[in-house]
Amino acid sequence: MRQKFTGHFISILFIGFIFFIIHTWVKSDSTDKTYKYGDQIQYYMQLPFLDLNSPEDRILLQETLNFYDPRNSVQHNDLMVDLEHYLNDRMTASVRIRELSDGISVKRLMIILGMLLKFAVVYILVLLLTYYGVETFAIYRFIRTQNPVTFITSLTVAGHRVMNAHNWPKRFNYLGQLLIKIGLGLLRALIMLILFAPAYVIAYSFKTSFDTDSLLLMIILGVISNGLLITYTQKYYTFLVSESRKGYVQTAIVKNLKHEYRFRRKDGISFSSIFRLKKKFPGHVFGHIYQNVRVQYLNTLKEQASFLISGLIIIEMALNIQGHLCYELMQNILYKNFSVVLIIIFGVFLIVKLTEIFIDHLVLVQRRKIDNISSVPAG
Amino acid sequence: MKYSLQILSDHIARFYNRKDRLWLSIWLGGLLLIWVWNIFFLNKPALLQVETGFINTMILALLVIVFAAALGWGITLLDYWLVLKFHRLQMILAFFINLIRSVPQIVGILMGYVILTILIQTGTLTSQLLILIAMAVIIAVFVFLEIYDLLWERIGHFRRLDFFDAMRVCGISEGYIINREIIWRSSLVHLINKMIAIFGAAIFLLCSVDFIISVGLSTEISAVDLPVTLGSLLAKIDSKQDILAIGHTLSHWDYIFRLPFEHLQGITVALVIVFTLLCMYQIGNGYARRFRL
Repeated sequence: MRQKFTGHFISILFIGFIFFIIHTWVKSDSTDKTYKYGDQIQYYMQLPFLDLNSPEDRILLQETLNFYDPRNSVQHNDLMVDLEHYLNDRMTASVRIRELSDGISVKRLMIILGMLLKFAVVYILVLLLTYYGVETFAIYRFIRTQNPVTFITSLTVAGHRVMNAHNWPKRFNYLGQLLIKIGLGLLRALIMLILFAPAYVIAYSFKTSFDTDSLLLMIILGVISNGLLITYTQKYYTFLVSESRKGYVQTAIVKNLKHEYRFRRKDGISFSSIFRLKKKFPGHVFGHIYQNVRVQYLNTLKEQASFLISGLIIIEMALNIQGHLCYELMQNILYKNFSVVLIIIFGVFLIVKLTEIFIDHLVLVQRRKIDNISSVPAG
Repeated sequence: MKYSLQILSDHIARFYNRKDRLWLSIWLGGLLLIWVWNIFFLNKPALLQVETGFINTMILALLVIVFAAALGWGITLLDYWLVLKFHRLQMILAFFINLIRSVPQIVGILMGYVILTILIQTGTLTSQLLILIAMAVIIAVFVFLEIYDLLWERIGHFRRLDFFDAMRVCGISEGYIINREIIWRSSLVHLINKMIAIFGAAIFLLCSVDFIISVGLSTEISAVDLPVTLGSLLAKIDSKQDILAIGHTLSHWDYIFRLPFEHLQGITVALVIVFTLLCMYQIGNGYARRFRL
């Protein structure tokens, strides 16, 4: 385990060193670009009757050139592309100069650190929420699958009831139940589509109705979008299933531990216990399955955390949320201000590494507990 | 008659229970339905763009699978060989593997795209096919670890069993045992399951990166001709307006009926992405359940 922690620290130092080397070698790009048709562009820019910022005037210029000189239409096309690049560069030049002149002053560094802190807080909140969600939904699914009733089976049963009802009031009653089942099935399909939708699809769908720049929406998107919740619920559920097949579970059942999985039964699991923050299932065989799976899942939690960070970065970048870390990252990639880019990436890397160190520590603590090793060796 | 009905119902029940095949059919059928709808109601240039974007995305995702499998297999064998022969070198390899693991996939891929753009701008990469391959390799570098982990775990599992040593005693080389007996004969089903998951992950990452680049880095990277994908199509202003129209239906319910006719391009692209991700998840789950993985 010590080797693992040393590995983490060495990798932080290694990446820090590499980034420092890149920072000293690669200077931010502040040089002016040269354009293939630079002279012509300057000439046309000076014509007083032509506003080349207007797309209509650019098309007019191209058509005029093609009309008088049709054999060089390919070159005219290239000229237009070059002209668009020139206009684009001119537009971003003022911002770029301001950004580059700032460099990485202490003030700028503090602003970035503030953003990093905000990002870390959102990340921790979303990680905790998704961990709770993953655990809760996986347990609920596991308990439900112990008494499996598939959607098609329930529809068939409801359909049979409608067909075989003795009188019309009953038939209408059963028909209502059937329609409710179909409605719930459609709602479930819609929820599944939302859970699998990338964050930017959901955010743009509701941009006209909600303020998509808010921190709260970012947290909600982090939890429900990008398929994170459902993918890791499935992984947790798989752990529960494989653990429940182990021999000790059968032994425990033979030794009369409670093993009723239906809700609202004397020996069953209460519905509310699934949704508690600290889940406990006293006297039930599932309690032991759950305790073991919690430890096993810790390693997958690292994977979940890494995926979550990717998801949060996607949300911030795709939604262009100003004043956030990844918006800053994108702006600095755009202005080729690589010093700031390296600092931000290193910050994100540190968050991942700290998560890994924390989870490894948790694994160590759990393993000590399971192996019954005290922290102070016996004398 | 009753007998043939029974056979038909048995066939349907068997098909329904094989969830992977069921969801594969749903995916293909759904895509076909969306395509036919688009032929009728979407204008020709937009339809052509959507088709190109879809085909490029699928080709890229398939290429990612190929490269991720090759990388995963190669690195696993290299790691195994280093464990046996050069333990210190293996520690260095493990260090770099953990380093890749710690870089958020999207950041790594974005940095890879920046390098790719520089290569395109300097004229090093010109062919569209080469650009596609380079994009797939960049994504594969950040997803291949799933295959590496799987193969490493499978080899470790079988190495603990008696049959490994028994075959070694019979004079069979370790390379043959690992490649043929463990990976090919005993882990192919696991590998296919992992590849299905990677296919979904590749589509998600590809669309996200292309969307981010098209939205946020439009002046630098989009100026370079990267192949059109579903992600870059979604970032186009007309597609974004189509997606924004979904929000409009929250306050104007009747507008929902106009969406599949008047906002088809954006809705199609978004639906294809989400529907594909959902179906890949279901196919993977069904496959794992069928083979009890």
